[in-house]
Amino acid sequence: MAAPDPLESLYDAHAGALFAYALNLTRSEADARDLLQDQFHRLARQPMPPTVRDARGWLLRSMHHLAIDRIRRRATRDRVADQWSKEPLELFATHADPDETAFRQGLAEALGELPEDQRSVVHLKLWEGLTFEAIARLLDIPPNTAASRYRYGVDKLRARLRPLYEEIR
Amino acid sequence: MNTPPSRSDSDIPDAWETRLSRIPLAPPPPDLRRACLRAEEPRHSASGGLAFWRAVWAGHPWAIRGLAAAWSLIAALHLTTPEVPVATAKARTVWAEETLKLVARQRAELMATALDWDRESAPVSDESAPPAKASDRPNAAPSTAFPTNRMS
Repeated sequence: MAAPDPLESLYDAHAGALFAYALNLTRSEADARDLLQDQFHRLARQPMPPTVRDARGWLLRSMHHLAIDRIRRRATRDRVADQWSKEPLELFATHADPDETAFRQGLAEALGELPEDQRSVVHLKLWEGLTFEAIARLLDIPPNTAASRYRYGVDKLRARLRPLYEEIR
Repeated sequence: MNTPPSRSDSDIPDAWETRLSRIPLAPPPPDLRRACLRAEEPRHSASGGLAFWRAVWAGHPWAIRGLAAAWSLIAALHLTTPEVPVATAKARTVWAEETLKLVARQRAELMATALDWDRESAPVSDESAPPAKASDRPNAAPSTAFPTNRMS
């Protein structure tokens, strides 16, 4: 039996998280697709160093840099980045309950209203389950800064979504 | 603005955070797997030049638009201006030379006429003639010497 391709294994294990992170940061599905392809094409040319112990963290860090670079270039190209950040995205899985679907859509929109630095920390904390120490290493910021950004971001989401949350609860 | 208290990793997430964290993220589009695992990079390798121009366009859109507008104007002028055949161009050159010769001939005739008029209008006697200056006619003979052909 042939051994599985390491690149395929990486994709199956981490592509979902990387795509969602790129989508949440760039707020553009086209950009998220491009970035994920870029990342895996880079991995095909230059595989992950064998010394890396935390593959997910290493990949998320790489994706973070790619996404930030894309956002900056896009901001140079045109000034509608703010408008893009407020576009509804299919960031979360769909749900049969329309109320839950509306809440998820509202959450995706509210995330788009957060500054990028808060959005990235909130995403990594809530949906990747990383510790503040791990987020700090990933984003090259102090752990306290990561914690503050998380608190700001979560509180904004709470204030923004409270009416919707109370309605469907 | 009140700074919210920072949290530590040991803090237990509240109900709101737990609620949010349990919402599953959407999976990537199914067709993306094949595109990501493809060995080649058709998006980049097939159009290196295109990628370059895209990058330039992204960084300097107005410069590129200006260049494109100038290039379009030059092309439009080139297309709308009638071409002049070589034979016609040579004919025009001959015509210009003829014109120059004609102008030169007319100028010579005019000069000759003016000289004749000058001779005819010159004073006959010494009393009525104004004192001639040597500087007026630098190469002319002294004023006391009248041209011999006039007396003949």
